[in-house]
Amino acid sequence: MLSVRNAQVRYGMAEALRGVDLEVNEGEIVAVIGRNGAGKTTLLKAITGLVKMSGGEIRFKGERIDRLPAHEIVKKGIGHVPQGRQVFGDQTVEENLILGAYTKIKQQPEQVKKWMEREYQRFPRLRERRHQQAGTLSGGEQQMLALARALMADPPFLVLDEPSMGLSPIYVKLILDTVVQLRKEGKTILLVEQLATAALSISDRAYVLSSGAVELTGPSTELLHDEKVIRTYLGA
Amino acid sequence: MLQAVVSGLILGSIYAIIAQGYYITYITTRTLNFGQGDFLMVGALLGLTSLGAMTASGIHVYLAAVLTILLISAVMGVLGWGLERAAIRPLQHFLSIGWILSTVAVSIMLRNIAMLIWGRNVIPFPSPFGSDVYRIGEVGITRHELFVAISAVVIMACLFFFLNRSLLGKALAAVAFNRDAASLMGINPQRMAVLAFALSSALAGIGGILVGPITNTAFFMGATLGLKAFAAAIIGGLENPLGILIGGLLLGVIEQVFSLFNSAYKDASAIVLILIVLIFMPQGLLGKKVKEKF
Repeated sequence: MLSVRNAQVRYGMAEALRGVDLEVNEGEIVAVIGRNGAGKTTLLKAITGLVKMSGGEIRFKGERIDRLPAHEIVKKGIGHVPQGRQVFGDQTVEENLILGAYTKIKQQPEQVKKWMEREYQRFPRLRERRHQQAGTLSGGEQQMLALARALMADPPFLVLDEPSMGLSPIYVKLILDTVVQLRKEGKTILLVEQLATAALSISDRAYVLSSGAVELTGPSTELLHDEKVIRTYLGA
Repeated sequence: MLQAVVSGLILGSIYAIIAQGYYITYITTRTLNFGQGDFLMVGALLGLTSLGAMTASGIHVYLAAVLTILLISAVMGVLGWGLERAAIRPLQHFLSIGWILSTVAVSIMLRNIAMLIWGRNVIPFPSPFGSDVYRIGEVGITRHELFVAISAVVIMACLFFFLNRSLLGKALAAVAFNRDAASLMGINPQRMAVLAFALSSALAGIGGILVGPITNTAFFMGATLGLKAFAAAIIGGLENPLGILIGGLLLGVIEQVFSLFNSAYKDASAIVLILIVLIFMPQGLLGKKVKEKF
């Protein structure tokens, strides 16, 4: 569904990605793990058009998307839940959800209402706080909102950037359970995570990124038992 | 005294309308049109010409006034679009403050073009509503001032509705809050920047039509008015439309009250007000921001 070929990104003189290849098939959960600064977030940003690549290509459903600006890529059906949640803090929960459906709300207002209802059912907490400013929510609630907001455009493909960051264990479990649930609903998911064990246990395949290149890749169950992965990322 | 307060409120509401233009472009692009005053001048002179032409061709005065406002908003909107494309976007690489000079440059061009077209002299801008004065107790209000007051209320109401309730307004606010996150929603930040500048210029044009009959019109009228409106925006807090409204009204009233004692104090009072606000509340009267949580 998504294929990344030889992706290269530079920030000035620094090379953030040095030729990354990555493949995500329909219906999969694919995890990307790696240390801080390995290039995980940059990879996701390159996919959704927030950073421009200096080389390589990205195809989504066979179509090249690496030359498109971010707001066009969203319309192709890729939802991106950014790192640090990035909810619109000065707008209410409901307004954030409406903005999530920005590309759809004019053509399909009825459908958008249904999707909002669906997200409120998924996260009843958001319904309770719908008229509250997003900036006043707790970190976990903001993460729910960021996820729900991305789902409001009903994208078949979802990109999640460290959804567990800064959350209490209960919320981490809730969010990861939701990711598994989303795959059951038919979504394809690319997940970047610091919590390597958690990411490997819910994903089908995984890539280990190191200094802007793929160091290892394979089925998640194998990586969970790989000596090197255990030593460097699982801390055992 | 009461008279000064009322005229101050009316003048202040015009400052506030112009200043909302600063607010809209500032929050969406972190840039402002330093030529806002000269955009206002263009609006005033164009408005004068179009109003003259319309009434001469026999269109009813009220209809002509409304049509002129619509026409000038449209023309100024196009001008704002041009400004964004020509003077803001090409200069917007990071660390660039080139837009400050480029907007000033555009304003100087406009000023000189206006001088060529409309001449060097002050042109009286007779109000389309005549100079009748309504008396309420001590206070006299001209029909034009009444028109200004009503227009200001309508424009502010439309603006607040647009910014807070419409989808486009929410998108504008989203770009202002977090440009990257907004583009992940499918919002085109560049289109929003164009919209912001078009809207801002339209507001300047409307301000020009409203203020024209009060101050009279000339190619140099923009500088002071633009500065006053900027002061209103700074006093109220550049990121708060309600603050800007209050800032504008406050500035208008203080000016008028001070000029009761000595008209030389009029402009000085505005500057003193800015100084006081900047010393004690550098973020402006209502300039608060929501803190982000991490």
